[in-house]
Amino acid sequence: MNNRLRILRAEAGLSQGDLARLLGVSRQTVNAVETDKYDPSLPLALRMAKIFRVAVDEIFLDDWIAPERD
Amino acid sequence: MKSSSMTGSHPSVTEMTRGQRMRRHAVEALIGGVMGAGFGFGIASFVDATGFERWTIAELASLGIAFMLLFMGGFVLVMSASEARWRRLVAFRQPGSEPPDRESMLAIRRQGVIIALTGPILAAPPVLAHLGLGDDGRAIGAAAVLAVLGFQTWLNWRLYRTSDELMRQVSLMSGAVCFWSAQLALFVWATLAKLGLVAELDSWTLITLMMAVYLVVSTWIGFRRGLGQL
Repeated sequence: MNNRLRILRAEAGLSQGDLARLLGVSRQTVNAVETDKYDPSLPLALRMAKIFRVAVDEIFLDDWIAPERD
Repeated sequence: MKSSSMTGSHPSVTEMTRGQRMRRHAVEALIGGVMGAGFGFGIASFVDATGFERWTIAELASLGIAFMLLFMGGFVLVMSASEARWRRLVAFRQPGSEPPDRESMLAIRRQGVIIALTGPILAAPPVLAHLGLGDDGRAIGAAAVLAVLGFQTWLNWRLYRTSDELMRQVSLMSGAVCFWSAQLALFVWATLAKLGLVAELDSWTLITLMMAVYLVVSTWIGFRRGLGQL
């Protein structure tokens, strides 16, 4: 899943290590998310949203469109 | 953000030219080749001295895997013993990437110990079996292997407990893929063996195959999930 984590992190002036410490994960995890190799768990995605004060879907971009209900 | 050029008196490896990087790779290959050839010759001499014809393919394969793990673990431990040295390695392998923090260094060293211990644990049973030891000697050898295995299992558990969700997911996925592939392969082989179409497998062959499959699967999944990044 594409995401804007690297952009948001750069805008906040945080290094991968800084963000990893804030989130309580390893720097490798932040790097893996930024490079689209790993989709984080829901709790971790929510923590990211709280740190950057945005909605989760402003970080993680999903082009899926819900089918219309009858 | 700390720069990879902040590594004391050493030149910045991120600024190496293509030629310098190639020379460095050549030196690494030469050192690795000489050490590998030396160890290979040592193993071959030992196997020959104990009667080559008495060694099964699985035993020889497990020796090969064991020494590969010992080298890998040893390399990680030597490189990560100094934080500055590890940072130079990161800067050389992944220019532009951030150096690991203190917690990462601790996890890297733990992984190094675990990998390095797997080597002797895997090599010891076939080696001890071919030394011609008496009952007491084999019992002491088995106790020593089990003691080291217990310590390594405790380290593995500690590493898992202190890992974050990425590492845990890689562990769980590797375990799941290994289980399903091993179950499938074992069922097919057991079916053929039951029908008398292939020979029965001994337990050492099974554990050697399992180790080989686990190494390939965990490396593949780890790289896919970005753990190949230092």
